[in-house]
Amino acid sequence: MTDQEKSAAGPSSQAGITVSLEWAKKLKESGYPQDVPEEFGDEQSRWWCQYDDDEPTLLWLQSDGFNDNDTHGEDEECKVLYKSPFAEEILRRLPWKIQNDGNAFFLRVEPYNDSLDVLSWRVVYPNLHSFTNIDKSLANAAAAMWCYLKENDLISPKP
Amino acid sequence: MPNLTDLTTADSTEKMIDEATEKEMYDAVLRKIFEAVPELSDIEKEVFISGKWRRLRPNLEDVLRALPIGAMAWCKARDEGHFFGIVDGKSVFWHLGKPLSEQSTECIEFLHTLLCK
Repeated sequence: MTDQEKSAAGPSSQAGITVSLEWAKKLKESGYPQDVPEEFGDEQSRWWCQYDDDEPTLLWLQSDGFNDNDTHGEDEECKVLYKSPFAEEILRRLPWKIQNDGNAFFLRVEPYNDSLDVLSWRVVYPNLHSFTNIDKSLANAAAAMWCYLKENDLISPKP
Repeated sequence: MPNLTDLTTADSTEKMIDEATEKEMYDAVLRKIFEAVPELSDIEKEVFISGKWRRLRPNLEDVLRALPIGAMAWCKARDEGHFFGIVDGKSVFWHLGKPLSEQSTECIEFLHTLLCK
């Protein structure tokens, strides 16, 4: 495998560990930053993009342009739609502590096995509120918490 | 009384042993994570980014997947940019956004204790 081929394998190998298209839309609508934090860099950069009438596809965007493994020609224009962050980036942007009524509530990530023993994730602030979102994707679970906090004015975007 | 050369040699030998031990621990942790996350063995483990090869995984999610069933495994944010993994009262920093290969020696030792003993 050439370097170029290995490089192209990057985006596809990351599929499933960034947020889904649905959650990417909700994040953007909620005001989630559409840039990539400096400490995360190009390797953590994924976007839902669209070529003409195609279904949106997840691409890897590097600072010098797209680096993807699709088959579109150079003359085809790609429209960037939504940022698709990794779980760890969303966790980085969530407040690690929320103060409420003199109490402090801390962010927690919990693996959760359902009745079928399928591993899912909960991203919660225990005892702060009843909101909980269980998802097989840690990124989606984190996105759900970010949107919940934003909708309830419990978070402001970090630079 | 040992001379300076002896001390330097001793330090160097100790460092080599430490590095070997650390490498063994890292490899053992990696094997455990691969067992828990089989798809990791099917994907490219390195990508060429900004002029160098980098591993993107195992990431935090992969590590959490590998933790023993029934263990009190959870994470708590301790400081910005870090994640605090806590199991049975012990804790360690996980640097968010960095793969296992770029975590601290302390973190690797901690995971080795959890996963390999």
